[in-house]
Amino acid sequence: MKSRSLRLYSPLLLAPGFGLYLVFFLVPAAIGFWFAFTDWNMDLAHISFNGLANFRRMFADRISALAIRNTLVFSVVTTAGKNILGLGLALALNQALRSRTALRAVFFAPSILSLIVVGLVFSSILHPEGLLNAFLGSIGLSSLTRSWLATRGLVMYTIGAVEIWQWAGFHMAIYLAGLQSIPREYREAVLIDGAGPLRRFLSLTMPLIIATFNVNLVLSLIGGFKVFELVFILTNGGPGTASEVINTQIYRAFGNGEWGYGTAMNLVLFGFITLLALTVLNLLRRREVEL
Amino acid sequence: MSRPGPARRRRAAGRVLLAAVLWLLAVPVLVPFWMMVIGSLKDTREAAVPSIALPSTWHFENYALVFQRADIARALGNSILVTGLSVVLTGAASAAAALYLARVSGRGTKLVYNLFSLGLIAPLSIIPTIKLMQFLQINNTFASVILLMSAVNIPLAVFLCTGFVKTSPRDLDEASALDGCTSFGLLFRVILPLMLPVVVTSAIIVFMGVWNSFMIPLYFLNNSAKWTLPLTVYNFFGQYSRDWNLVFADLVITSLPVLAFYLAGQRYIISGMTAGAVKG
Repeated sequence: MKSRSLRLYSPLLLAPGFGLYLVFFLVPAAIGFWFAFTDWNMDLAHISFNGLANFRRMFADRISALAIRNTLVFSVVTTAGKNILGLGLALALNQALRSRTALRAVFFAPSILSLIVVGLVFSSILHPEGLLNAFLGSIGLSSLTRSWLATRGLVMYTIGAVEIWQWAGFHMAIYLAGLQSIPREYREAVLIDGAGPLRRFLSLTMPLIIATFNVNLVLSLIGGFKVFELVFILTNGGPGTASEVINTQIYRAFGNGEWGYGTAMNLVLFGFITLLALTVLNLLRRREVEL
Repeated sequence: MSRPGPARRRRAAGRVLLAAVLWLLAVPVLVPFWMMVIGSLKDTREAAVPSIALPSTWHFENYALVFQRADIARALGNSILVTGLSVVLTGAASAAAALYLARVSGRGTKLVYNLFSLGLIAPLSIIPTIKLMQFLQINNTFASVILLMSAVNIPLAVFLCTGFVKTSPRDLDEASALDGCTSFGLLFRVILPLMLPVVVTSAIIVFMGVWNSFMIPLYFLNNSAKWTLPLTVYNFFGQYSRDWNLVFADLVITSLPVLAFYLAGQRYIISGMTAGAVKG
């Protein structure tokens, strides 16, 4: 039995998939881990270890410290926005509305677009003389008009809003799948119980979709940390360096030939993402058991 | 269950109100799409002024101009080549790996599976990857992008396929073993046809990701003759001037295949793109 099973499932089945992943994903990651502790750059013939120098520089340097802070803020703000909107839309579109199929299709639509499309269309809309300010002016709210992408304290939130615009519908779809997996009898039981909508949501719906909530939270946190294209297209880190994030700093380190420093930043990004994903999953899993 | 009349009417009114609110919320979702399409049909001067109004004169020739100036035919070919091969390579490699991972248990299998799981969350190590491609002398080739796209997408596809194979009975495997099937015979003749739904799901994920990808071609294809569709828009703006009508026309062309696919099979795209999250 055992020998037949071994013959039947040859390790060669694993070879192409794991080989590709190993060579083109894991090996570069391992190389990066190593070189993060070196002075690897374009001018050097000999690479040598420099301990934690790259990391010390990263946290001491005003711009990269700002990039790390911006990445954190962006991830948290967009996670809140995507999940509040996504869950709200899902709850609304889980009702028996006649146009709900069309509405779901509309809300999901932005997530099929390339980031270059989203980025450029919004760079037109958010231009000081763009559609958004023109609209605000036309309804008598010209006091609210801003240079959305060129104001220091505002720019990360503007980019965050665009990110939320694109992905709220995606999270809505995941929440909808979770809501639809709640057995009918449960809902009816609570209806008969006479609980109001808020209590119904907190005591019935929320515990049952905690796993879905979980996945959405992790996905949006990770997505936020990995932000690159949207910043690159909308502001390229500007005004000045106000919207630099970790990935744009890596891009610049690559361009400047500071490869050791760039890989160190990548390692920090990796650390943040892994730590966050594990923390959130553990925290919520424990909660799941309690309920 | 019958309800008293007024309560039911109130519920119906509530639903109409809810639908109205949702359609109002849908407006800001739709306006950017509308602006892009309408803007692509204006003349340069009119497109420079932000507006959702229809063009005063329609300029369908913008598309002909974009096709010519950005060499869209070539970029479309590049996009189809890169996306098509990435989809096939990822699908085939993941299905094969999934068969092994789902059926053979042991410490090694578990380690491999955990390493694949790492790929679900870890960011790409861009700089070492570029150095690796240079070392292999495939930097700036389609091959480098296809191999990288596959490596990036294989973890999720393996994860989905393994879950699927685990739910399918082993009896079929045993029967085909008695018939003298080899591993790959079993894979292609028995398992792959069964796996079709999940392979299609993976194909949709890879298609959307690769077709729309902007960062990987930006880093790995720095020769404009090799550009995929999303990069062609760089033909239409410099640092100081943009012909917005041509930019929009180019963006419409880039989005059109995906949009058409979405309009034709919305259900498949939504369930495909969210499959990892829903089954996870």
